Amino acid sequence: MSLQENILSVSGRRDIPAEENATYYRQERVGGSFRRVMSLPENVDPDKVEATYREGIVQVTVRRREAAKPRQIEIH
Amino acid sequence: MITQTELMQNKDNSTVTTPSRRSLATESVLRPQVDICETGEGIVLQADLPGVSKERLNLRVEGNNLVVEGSIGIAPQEQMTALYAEVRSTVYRRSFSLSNELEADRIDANLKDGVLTIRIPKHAELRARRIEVRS
Repeated sequence: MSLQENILSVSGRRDIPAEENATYYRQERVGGSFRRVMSLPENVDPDKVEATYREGIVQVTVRRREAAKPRQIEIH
Repeated sequence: MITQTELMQNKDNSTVTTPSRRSLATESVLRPQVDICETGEGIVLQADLPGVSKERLNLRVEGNNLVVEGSIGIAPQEQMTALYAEVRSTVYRRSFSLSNELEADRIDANLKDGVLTIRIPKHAELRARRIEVRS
């Protein structure tokens, strides 16, 4: 997984070993290599990325650059 | 020897209405992808249930049906709105009817990395057996 500017790329491989001496009635699952590239909103900070993996899900958290955070505007 | 009859069939549950409010509130359910095969020993079913931990998996046999149900446990983020959501439900459910050839009491289930593997043996007398030949 990599993050460059605001482009996040994820790739990997999931193999599905075939059961031995078996007749398949249904094969819906897809195995093999996968890759996905997506563009995140502007102002993400590539130095502040965290990723965790649990139960087959990768969760990526990216923080915005400090200067880009929304600021409340005071009205006098 | 492989029987012609299909040992497992699908019963589909694609939408679920919440019990209290019938027509208005519907919560759509994700239908997990499965592979089903038969060996000499019995049936092997594998389902993709990403995001479901053992605690959130509900596997049960109701009569002749095997019900696979699980909920996705992603920690809710405070103050976040979705910019893009391909998955719009947090519940998987799918059920399968079990043939009488299977011993439903002896189901073995394993969940790892979001993949559920279920093995259901056939009744002992129906399993493929090697026959010894006297010489």
